Amino acid sequence: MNEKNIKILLQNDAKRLNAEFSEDLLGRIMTEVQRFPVFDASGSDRVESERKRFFSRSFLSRAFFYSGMVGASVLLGVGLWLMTNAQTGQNVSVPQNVHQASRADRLFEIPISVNSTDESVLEAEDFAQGETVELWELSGLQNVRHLSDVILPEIGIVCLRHSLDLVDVEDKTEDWAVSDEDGELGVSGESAEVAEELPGAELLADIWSCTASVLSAPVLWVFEEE
Amino acid sequence: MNSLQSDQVLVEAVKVGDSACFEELVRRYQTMVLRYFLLHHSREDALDLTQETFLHAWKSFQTYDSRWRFSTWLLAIAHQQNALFFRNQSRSIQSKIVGGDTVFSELEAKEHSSFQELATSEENQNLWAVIREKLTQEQAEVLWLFYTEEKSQMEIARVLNRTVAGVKTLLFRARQSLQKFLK
Repeated sequence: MNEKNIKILLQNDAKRLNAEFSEDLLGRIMTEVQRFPVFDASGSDRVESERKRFFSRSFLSRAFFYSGMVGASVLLGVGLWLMTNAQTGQNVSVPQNVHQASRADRLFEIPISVNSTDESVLEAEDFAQGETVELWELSGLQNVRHLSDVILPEIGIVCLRHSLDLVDVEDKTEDWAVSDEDGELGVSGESAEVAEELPGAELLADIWSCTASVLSAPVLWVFEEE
Repeated sequence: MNSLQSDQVLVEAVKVGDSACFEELVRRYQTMVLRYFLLHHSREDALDLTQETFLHAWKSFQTYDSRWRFSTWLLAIAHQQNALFFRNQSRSIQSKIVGGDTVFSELEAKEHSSFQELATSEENQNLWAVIREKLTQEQAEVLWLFYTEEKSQMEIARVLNRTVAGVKTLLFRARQSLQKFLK
């Protein structure tokens, strides 16, 4: 059934809810209104406090989300350099196809320390290929350097700066995963058609397509809000 | 009161305390609000909630933001009233269960009564009754606002207190679930 038919069907059934205009209800409302001839400040305050609560909740969830994105983006850039250094033994320029990618528009050029003996070093198996990790406590370029010190060189870190407003904060971004079968990015439990329709799908698919071809090691994805 | 005046003119008058203009707005939007509540409640509760919604609107008219259509603002208040109703109902059920009274099924039955009556009284089951039964409350609401009230996704986001992206996702999933029942 197409969209137009659904709309007609739903509108017709809505009419059967029998919500006809009621003079009696109007009378009841206006009687109550007369009891409050002047606007009630407490009513306004309540709405205002509800609004404040909403904004503070919204702000906090966004702050957590974007700080995670900053941390994650930091890791990604370092990863590419780790990868290229490990393969060539020297500083290699950023792969051309990543440079050309329309959305992956910036990679950090970070000096990599590959001989860390820090006990807190992260193991390669800590990260599945293509996994996105949110590191709340990390943000900014300095932390990229810190991460490059504690992550093993065989782990790729791809750092991307993006406008991520297409991704819904309240949605489960962890549903996104790389298929073991074909290496394509998709949503767990959903068909490719469904995944393509989800907000942020195009963005994530672009990122994946422009980096998957140049990376073969485990990759830590890091996103930073533009 | 001139029924040809625009909402904006009426709203400005109400802001300075003109109850006659408010009455005109109630005339215009009473049916819309009542229908919204009938989606979730029995007729009796829907009438009470409609009254509460308009009263709340009157009391807090100074907070109305004219960037939004009046109907959108009103639906946002209705959505808040709806959430408040369900929260209070939930508390009421909990307190009665604590008191040893097994009224849960009775209250649940009351909540669904309007649609059950509708579904059984009509030869063909009302699709909204199916939606109410099978989809989540938010999915039902987003379908209602999008198809029945023909609100934009941005307006729906305002009513439901969500992001536009969140509304898109919600709408997509609601349509997907609905398609299963339409096949």
